[in-house]
Amino acid sequence: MDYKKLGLKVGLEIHQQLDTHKLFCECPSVMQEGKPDLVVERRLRAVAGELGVVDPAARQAYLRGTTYVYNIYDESNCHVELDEEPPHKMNGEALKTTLLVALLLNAKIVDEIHVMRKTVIDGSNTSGFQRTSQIAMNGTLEFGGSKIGIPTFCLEEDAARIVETHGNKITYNLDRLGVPLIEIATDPDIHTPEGAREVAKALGDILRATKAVKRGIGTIRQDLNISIAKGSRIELKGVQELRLISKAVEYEVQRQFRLLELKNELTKRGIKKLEPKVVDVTNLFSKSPSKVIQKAVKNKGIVLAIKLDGFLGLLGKELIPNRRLGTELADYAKAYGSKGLFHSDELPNYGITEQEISSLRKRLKCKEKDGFVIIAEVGDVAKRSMEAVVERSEQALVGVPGETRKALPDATSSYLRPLPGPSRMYPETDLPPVVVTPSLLAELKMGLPELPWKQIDNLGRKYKLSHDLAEEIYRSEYFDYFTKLAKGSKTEPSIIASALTSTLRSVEKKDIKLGYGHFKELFKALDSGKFSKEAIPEILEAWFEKPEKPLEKLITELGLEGISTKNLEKIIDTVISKNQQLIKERGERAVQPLMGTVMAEVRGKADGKLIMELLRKKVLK
Amino acid sequence: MASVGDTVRVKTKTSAYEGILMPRTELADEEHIVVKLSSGYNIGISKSEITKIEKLGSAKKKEKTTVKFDKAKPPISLISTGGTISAKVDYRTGGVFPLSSPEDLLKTVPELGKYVKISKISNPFNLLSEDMSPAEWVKIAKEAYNELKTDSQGVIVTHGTDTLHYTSAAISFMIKNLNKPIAVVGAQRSADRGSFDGAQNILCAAHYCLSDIAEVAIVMHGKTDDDYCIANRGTKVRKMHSSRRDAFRPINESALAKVYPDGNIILTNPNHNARSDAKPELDAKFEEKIALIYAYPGANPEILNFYAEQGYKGVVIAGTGFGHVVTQPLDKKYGWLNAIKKCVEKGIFIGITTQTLYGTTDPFVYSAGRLLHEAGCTYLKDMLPETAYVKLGWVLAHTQKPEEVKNMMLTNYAGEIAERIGPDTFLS
Repeated sequence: MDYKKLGLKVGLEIHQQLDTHKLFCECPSVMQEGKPDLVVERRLRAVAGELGVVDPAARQAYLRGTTYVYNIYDESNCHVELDEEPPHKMNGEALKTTLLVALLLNAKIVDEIHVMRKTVIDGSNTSGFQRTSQIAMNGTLEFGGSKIGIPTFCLEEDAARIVETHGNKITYNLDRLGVPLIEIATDPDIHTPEGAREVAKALGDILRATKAVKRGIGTIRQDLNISIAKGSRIELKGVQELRLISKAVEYEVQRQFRLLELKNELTKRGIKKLEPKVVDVTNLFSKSPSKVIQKAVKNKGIVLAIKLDGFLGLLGKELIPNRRLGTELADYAKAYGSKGLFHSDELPNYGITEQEISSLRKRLKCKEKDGFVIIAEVGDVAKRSMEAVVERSEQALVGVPGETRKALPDATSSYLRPLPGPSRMYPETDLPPVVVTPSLLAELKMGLPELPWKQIDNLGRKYKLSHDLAEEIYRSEYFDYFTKLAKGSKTEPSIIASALTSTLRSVEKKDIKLGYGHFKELFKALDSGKFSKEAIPEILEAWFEKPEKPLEKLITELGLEGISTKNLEKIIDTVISKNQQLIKERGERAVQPLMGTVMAEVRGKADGKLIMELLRKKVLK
Repeated sequence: MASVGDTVRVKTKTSAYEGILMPRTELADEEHIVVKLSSGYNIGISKSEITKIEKLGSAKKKEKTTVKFDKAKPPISLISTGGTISAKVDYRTGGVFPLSSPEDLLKTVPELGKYVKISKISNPFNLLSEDMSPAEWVKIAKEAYNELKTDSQGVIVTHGTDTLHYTSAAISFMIKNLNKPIAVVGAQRSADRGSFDGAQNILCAAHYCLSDIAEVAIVMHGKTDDDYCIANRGTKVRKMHSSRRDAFRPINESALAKVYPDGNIILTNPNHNARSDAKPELDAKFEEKIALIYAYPGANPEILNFYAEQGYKGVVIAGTGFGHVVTQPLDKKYGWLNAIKKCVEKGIFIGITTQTLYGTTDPFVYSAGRLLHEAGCTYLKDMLPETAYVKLGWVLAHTQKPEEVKNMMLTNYAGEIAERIGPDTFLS
């Protein structure tokens, strides 16, 4: 795929939880499982918006009689989360961290911060709104030669976590409600899938450079806005892992591209207009062997069908792995309550017979190149779902509909809901605005941490580490150990870094953690020549078996005491004498293979460099 | 010159911003202006940084939509006095304006249309209830009495929550022979939010107005959940939490009823008057020269001399425990007996209630009570301090003869005295 030619535009939106108490109260940001201390049931009203008109989606939810059940935990919740007390003053630490991030990205901090109420209608905020504020604007991310615009930096509260949906009751856990989130949104300045991953990585690094963000699953959410020229902007929500980002972009580009191909195919087939009419075909399927249809009909359901002009073969065409146009239509049907649908390209199957298909095609007046869709559900669910399918099918002739999609674990995606309209935001009148004083900014500017990639470069230079090793140790949880050990030990920092990263990774055991003391002892002994560096893996491995064993004992047990140069020479002499033939044939080139033999003999008791030196000297003699 | 609501471009020394000019709120300083960006976010811009403000366009007019009540539904009256509950929110600015038309109310609480019709909203004044005075109680009682004379099935009074229980007590005394329900109702959350409790409160108040309970009652959330409201007798209710939806609790008795949003009403207190053909009577007067004071260690009894000099006619004391003030201190200067005796001699009524709110007063258990009783204080049984204060002002407007005042204060006009207090009424 030539992404430039396709006009790929990607924007990234990151929500990162901060490692401090909640944004508008003093409750700790601690997640909870298990039985709640209190359960409260509420209903949310559909409030009239700015124009005095009630939001139709909100009105629907309210009229459906949705009850929100809130699980409350004494450790993580107070009256503020329950919408029973006004918000407290904004968490100053959270504000400082957001300002730091904004300064690191060269953004313009606003003079006065206003907290806003942003209407939320799904019950994930007990008050019916989210408190959010804009802290800065017009930042830039500069790295690797590219410049990415960052127009917004916001500080806002996280929402409650959904526990389960059961009929008309939706249960939420209030533990997460109120946790501070930094929101950073980029301009659509990213033009390749790899670029998206790199920008996400860079922004993640900057956030972690503040040392004030939460770590672990669920503490950072990444959403992507993706579009190609002639396609449409879609919002892809919840790409969990960094490594899936570029794949997710690739798949979305592919999906949009294929949808555009489908559109062209329809036009080629002479389809100029699509206005599928919904037909009730229940009587055609009253005796159907299909279990799905039987079940629906038994529950007083109906079978609805539509003819899709020119769609033969297009419904079953794969867009991205395991997703066809038919799957997209099914997503829309499911959003309105249906369990799914059947389409012409996948039948006969699922118990639906050839006979039923031909009588259906006759009834719908399907021509050879036409396709169809069937939904079998309870009356109003069937009607609503089919209407949604009609809408989506009509879009096939237009191209790619704008949507909010959900990222799936395999980096593909499914339809979630329509793109959001403009948010309704109005002032949080229970809190006075916060003035960002020049003195606070000056203080923060003085204490700015260095940009992560600069830190890695400096690390590499200072300790003579390769870029990869510098990056590895920078990201490692043992980074603090490294700096301390490198300072206090004679051993080369690169050896210490390797030990703390790749070596440790290859021998470590789950549930066992070695402490700073272990490593301090290790390198102290190494410095005094008690063993050679090649023995490090063996020692670490032994420690993971018995972490409490003193190093002295380990060295003896493993027989790792360094051998004297005299003994080493004896071993080398023996090896040389046994390999005279090889040396005669290859001369200097015999050193390499003989190194292996000597090392095996020596078993880590001597320094590899020394062995090489002596071996070479003797071979060349 | 750009005004609030206009689209503007603000140029500063370092940047430029485009958006809608917003009003400043009371909580903000004078040094910044507020602009709403296209994203919806408001930001404050330091005036000292501004170099130029250009007007780009004028404020947009808001659309109007109309919904109407069904003429076939039973009529109820609505009197709006102000407070959070009767506020309409301007989402652009976050500012609040009073709800003035039935159509506005119907937009906020559309379910009302299923059960009742409201043809007009009386609006005698607009005040946050913390700013009210007894003069407002008289106005509300008059207005409610006038509505009772129409074909309305009941009257809803919307009101701020701070002094809601004072008003409910006042109406209870000022309207005699009440024949229909009067619901006094407020909201603890603002009307802009999806969790606005006022909507359910008004809806339940409407159901209460269609019931057969002819009492003045405060109708508000019964729990922090949204499952039902409770109707609390107007003379035996108090705001017991500064912010919770279920802040209003009955004191020393069970609530009159549980009222569900779907209209279901469960009676929880058999002691109430039923809807009848009786003719209500307006008796709305109030003697303002009275005081409500709190007893506490170190309180200076001289305050009573001050009130006496000012010509006050009565004082209600929220005493400690069974209704005590300091009578036998180590240091004589803290003792109240002399000051009380002087007041009683002057014909000033001294009424005793308890600051524990729950429970009843009793002058016979401890010597302090006996001494106060002998000194001429009137022990007001289990009357709430606030209710006793309101009642005293009403009584003194009828008579100032000490014996008559005492008799009226101890007569149960509107259930303000509980004859029996059951064990499950504490903190319920």
